[in-house]
Amino acid sequence: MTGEPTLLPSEFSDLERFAATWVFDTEKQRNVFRVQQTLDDLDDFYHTVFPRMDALCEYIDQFELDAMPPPAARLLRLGQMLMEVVPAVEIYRQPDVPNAFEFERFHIISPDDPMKVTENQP
Amino acid sequence: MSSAPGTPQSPESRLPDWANTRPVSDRYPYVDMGPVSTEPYVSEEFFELEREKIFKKMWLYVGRTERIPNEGDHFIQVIEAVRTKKNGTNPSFIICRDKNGEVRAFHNACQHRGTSVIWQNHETWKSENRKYFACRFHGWVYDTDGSLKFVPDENQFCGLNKSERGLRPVHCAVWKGFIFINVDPNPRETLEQQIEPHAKLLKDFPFEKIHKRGIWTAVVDVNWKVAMDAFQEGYHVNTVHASTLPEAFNGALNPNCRPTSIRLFERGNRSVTFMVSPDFEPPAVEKWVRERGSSWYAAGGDETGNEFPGTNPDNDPFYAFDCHGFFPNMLVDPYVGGFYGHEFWPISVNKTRWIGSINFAEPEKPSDLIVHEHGKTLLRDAFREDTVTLDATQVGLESGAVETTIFSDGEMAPRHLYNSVVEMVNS
Repeated sequence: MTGEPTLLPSEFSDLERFAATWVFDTEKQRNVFRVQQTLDDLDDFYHTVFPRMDALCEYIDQFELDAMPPPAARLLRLGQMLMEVVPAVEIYRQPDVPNAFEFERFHIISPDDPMKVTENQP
Repeated sequence: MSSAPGTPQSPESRLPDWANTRPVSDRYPYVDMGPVSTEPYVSEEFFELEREKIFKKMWLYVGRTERIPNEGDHFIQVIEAVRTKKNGTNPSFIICRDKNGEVRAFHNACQHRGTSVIWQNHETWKSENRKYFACRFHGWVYDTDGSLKFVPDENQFCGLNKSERGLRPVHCAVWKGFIFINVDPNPRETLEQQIEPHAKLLKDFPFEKIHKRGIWTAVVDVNWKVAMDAFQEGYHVNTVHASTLPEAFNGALNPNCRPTSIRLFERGNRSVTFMVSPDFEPPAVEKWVRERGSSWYAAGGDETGNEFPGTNPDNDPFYAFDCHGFFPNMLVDPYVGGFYGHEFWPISVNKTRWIGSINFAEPEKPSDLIVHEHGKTLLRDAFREDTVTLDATQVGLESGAVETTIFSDGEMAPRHLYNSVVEMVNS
């Protein structure tokens, strides 16, 4: 009997609950998502993902950046999402920067990361 | 100052004697440290003179060569400050790599009836590739070297000489992957002369291995010099960055975030070095990041002989990053691991297009992208704090209630920018 199809490698099943909704390809998407979450959600993500970061990096570093299998690429994006969330959790204690320039006037241009995802795998 | 072998001075003792001196004005005693008129920040007449005497005469940075690696790659740069009429339209320029691999720049104007040849939105930051540039109005076709190749229905023109109707070239020069253009048909200086002190300091910095990974932009209602000044002093860090950088730069040794050294150069160029507080205890993830690579500043200590030569030119203790002011409108901030920077494009006396960006060394493994994301995010959020001061400063300056401004010793870079602009406008 097989379980539900998963988005992440099986050894990261504890992070699976974030894989469908917290994985984004660009900095802009990650920032927009961050400021829409509650601090509780950000705290939950931070405290779940940070303890797994050494294992996560070890896993994704088995691959080359120009040939990342989709599950490894999603893990990498989760790691980038952690970095997006970090200042809000560790420093501001609120989702967006306090007393900051208007979010809507500040445009984030996201150059493509130097990464290629292989297409022939799930 | 170097010390005798075997008796290294403590880093603390190598800091400037801030209690008893004003180290920057002591280094440059000829600089008048008194108040200056705020007129250059608010006067439309002064702004027009800046456009004529600075922006239409000098080399202006428009992008990195990494945006156009292949023949036929090109992007569009709008430069409001070089428009020909005070309230006229804003010209755009084609920056391209031609069929011979040369980086070139042209006015984006068809020599038939003047239409913009390429209608790409410059704010997308995308480069495109074309073998030829075809005008969308009547289909005149230009080669990537600017020459006019094909005119539809050519025999219906009388006296049309195609060799005289190529795209109008603009002077273009490249330094370490930084593309500059100069709209003056006869530039008074070479790019090398204009940026000479920076080129000397950064001659070995590995710009070619470092690539743009984050770009942020905003139109701010402020004079371009005021915008630039917000990013070239440390005096604001305690207040403006109380949320994002509450402890990194303002510990017991340097509670007011003074630069550890400032260098003033000719032609408005200058360079500032900042320190990180040695008693700063980074939060958990920043600590994790620093074990794996660099963030957006170096982590302190003596930083000589590293892989990023040209950083920390005076070998200051507790090194964080440098801020090199390339006159007129660019800041380049190198550190051990990459560089970030800013462009300030004047639109009017009180409107400026700001572009901030960060550039990292080529990732060697996938997890490097995660490490880089930390510095990128924290720097971007800090820029959200810097930019919030800008509109508010212009409102006060334009209120008429502030006739003069006064810069402290640590604000010597804004003062040098001011003095250099005034000198050029009055020349």
